[in-house]
Amino acid sequence: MFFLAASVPAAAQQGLEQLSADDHNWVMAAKNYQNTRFSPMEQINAGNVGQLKLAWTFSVGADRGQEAAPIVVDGMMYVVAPYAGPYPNRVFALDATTGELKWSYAPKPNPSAAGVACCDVVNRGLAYDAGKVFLNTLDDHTVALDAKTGEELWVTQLGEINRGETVTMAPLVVRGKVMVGNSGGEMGVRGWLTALDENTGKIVWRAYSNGPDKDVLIGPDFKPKYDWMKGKDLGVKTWPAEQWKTGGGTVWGWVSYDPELNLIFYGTGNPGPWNSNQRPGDNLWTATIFARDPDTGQAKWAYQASPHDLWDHDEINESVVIDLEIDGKQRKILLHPGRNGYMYVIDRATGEVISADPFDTITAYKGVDLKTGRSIPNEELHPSLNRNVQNVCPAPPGAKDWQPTAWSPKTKLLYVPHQHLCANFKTSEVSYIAGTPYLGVEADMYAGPGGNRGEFMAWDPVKRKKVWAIKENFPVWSGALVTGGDVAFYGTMDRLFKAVDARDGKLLWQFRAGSGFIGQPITYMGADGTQYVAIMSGVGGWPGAIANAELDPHVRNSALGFVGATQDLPLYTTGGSSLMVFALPKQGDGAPPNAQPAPQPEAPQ
Amino acid sequence: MMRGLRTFSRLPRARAMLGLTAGPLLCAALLLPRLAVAQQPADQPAPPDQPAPSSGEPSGKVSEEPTPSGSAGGAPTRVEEDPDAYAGGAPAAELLQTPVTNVFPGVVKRKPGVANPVAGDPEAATRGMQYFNAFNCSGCHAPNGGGGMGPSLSNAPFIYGSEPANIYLSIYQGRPGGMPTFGGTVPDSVIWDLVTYIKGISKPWPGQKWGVTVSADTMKVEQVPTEFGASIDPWSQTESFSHGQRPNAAR
Repeated sequence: MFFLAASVPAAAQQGLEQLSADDHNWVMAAKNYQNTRFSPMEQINAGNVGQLKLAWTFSVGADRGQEAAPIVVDGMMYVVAPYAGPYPNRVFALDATTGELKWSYAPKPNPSAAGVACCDVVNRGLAYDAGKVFLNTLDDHTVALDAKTGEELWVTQLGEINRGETVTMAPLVVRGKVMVGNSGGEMGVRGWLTALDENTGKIVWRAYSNGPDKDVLIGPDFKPKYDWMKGKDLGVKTWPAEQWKTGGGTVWGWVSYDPELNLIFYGTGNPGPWNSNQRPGDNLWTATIFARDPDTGQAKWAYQASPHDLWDHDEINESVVIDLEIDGKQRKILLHPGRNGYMYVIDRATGEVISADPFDTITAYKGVDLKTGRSIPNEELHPSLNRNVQNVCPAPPGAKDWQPTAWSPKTKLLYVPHQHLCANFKTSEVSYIAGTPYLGVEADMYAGPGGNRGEFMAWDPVKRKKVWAIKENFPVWSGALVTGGDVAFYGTMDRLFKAVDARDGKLLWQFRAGSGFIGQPITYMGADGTQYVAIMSGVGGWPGAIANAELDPHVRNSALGFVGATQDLPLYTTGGSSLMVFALPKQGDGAPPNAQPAPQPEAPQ
Repeated sequence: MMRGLRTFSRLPRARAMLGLTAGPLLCAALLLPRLAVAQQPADQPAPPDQPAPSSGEPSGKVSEEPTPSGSAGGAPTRVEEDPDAYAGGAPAAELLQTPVTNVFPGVVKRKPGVANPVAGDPEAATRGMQYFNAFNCSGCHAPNGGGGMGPSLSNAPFIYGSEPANIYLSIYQGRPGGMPTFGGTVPDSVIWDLVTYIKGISKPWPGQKWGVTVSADTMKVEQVPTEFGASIDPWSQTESFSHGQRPNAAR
């Protein structure tokens, strides 16, 4: 009926595609290369999820924002702590069924890295391939560990905190290469995505997000759809002299992959500084989606969602790889919920924008011109120097930030956790000082129209509309998960882990945890044949630092202005560090799932 | 006039020391005028036309020792003659006496021997506020010091001590949790101006008791956000707590 872990063919022998198709595994943060976060399992379903119970928990020992996805392979679960506590970014290997700790690994810490991390000290998860677990540390190291023993196999330093560089993204392995990008868009760093040989840690290629074509890995294969992105060295020419060197475009979100086209897809972050008056031009290739060859890094196409970004609208959000029938034609699609508030449906072979529809309140833009592909800024809200521009929607974190969506091939809906915020935004001159923030903006965020600050909603990309929506008091900063049992999972910052009906959004179950949720829910089959659902509890991240760190709720402009919108969060939660694993009760005896057998007394001698 | 001129004339050097490499346009044309000329919002206290040096002794003086600049606010023209001597020029022997904790073996309490030469001087605080932005302190600690990448400075607790000498040293030496080391890269007087500003914004919030109760009943006030005007005394401008909604100043 089910495989014992030992009888599963050694995961080291299988490719990631095969591993990700096996329900026993959740082998990468986004579940699969397509980034669907969909599991076909239906043991837990809309009919019985109301009985879901806590099976076991584990503390990662650091009460800062827990954004990491646990990954599961070959009966083992691997999870990483944030960069805090005595052992920052510690990795834990647990028996995925019983929760027994097998090993842990603590990288050599450089506590100063916390001082250049813009938005809490989060880590979004680990990666796995060929018997190795890959860790990115906040202080710019990528580490390979033996998945069985935790032994350190190689360490490569990829960046420099003195330049404001950090790494927060979960790595992804494609064709033997570990993909890692940098963070630090608030520090004037120069963004890049780097591919490392998974066996040696050697850098195979690095694609910068700005600068000359040779650095951006733009060559003869590069064929952008729209004319304004064609030309030589646009990563230099669309900036004032030399400013591309401190121009941001960091890569800290999600990488997806289409094995058929052999293309990876990812987005780049905001241009630096935030004050747009200091960087006239389109600022290519910031706030841009790239399609690249994973073997060479060469760009195939690019699409800049926010030319000359005015509002810190990074475009690092996930691009979900799906096929859709649109106007009677089967299309290869990237479904990309944009930070700027538009739901992009993009042809993933060419970069053509097929549709782009608002999924939240938008005042900052007038729409997306499908002829030119350009988003249209609302000139009435232009953030001229020292002007206090009010009611900019979406706010700097956008209508959706890093928190990943889930796509159900069953319902054909995208499940979108997101925030609903507007902001006041005032620019001022700023100087570049390496390793310090490069902003030039005072921001102050607050709830959008209606007063709620977040939403969990289902989007139909063919009908181009919202199907249902659940308003949440706080930004929904957790990821989403959806299953073949038609259950969608997400967590709230006010400590509730929720299961809703994927078809109509009806609340089916919720669990009040020790701390708010900003993590990524996953599901997998244990060695005991039980379906488990796991998520990290521990509030934080950009909106949640007010509750887990020493910030002042009375000063709205704190945390780059996010405190204005979440200043009351300390009334609901503090930081936490719990991995939580849920399952249905075992049938018949009503015992809690995964109850450990009591030790039997030994017979007297 | 002396102090103002002296301060601003040192800036290009400080900027060079920091390796500010933003566009030359920015360096030359944007930042300096902002610092040198008071481009203040209307509702913000404008610096006096004639920024005179503060009148000598800081009020909270705890030591009779000479102050770090060698003068408690006179007209130290030597600074312009030899900026290197001035930068980081607080006497090392005195600074070594600055305790960072309040635990003393043998219960022999020690007070910092170094006082802020410009303590309580509103001009120094105003300059400090400008430096707080110019050296990107506000990026980490937030406008008005509410915190973010770095801890808040707007309330009373300080991890490494709240005496002026403690704050001076935190800026000068940096701190292991991520505070950069500014000593040797910005002039000593700039650090003391920053200390003056920071001491001015660090206060218990209105109604705060010895400890902090967080409840719907106690979250009553917030500062007027800085996009409506900056102030060296932000706690003097409060309004009712917004619970994440639009600030009252905008309604």
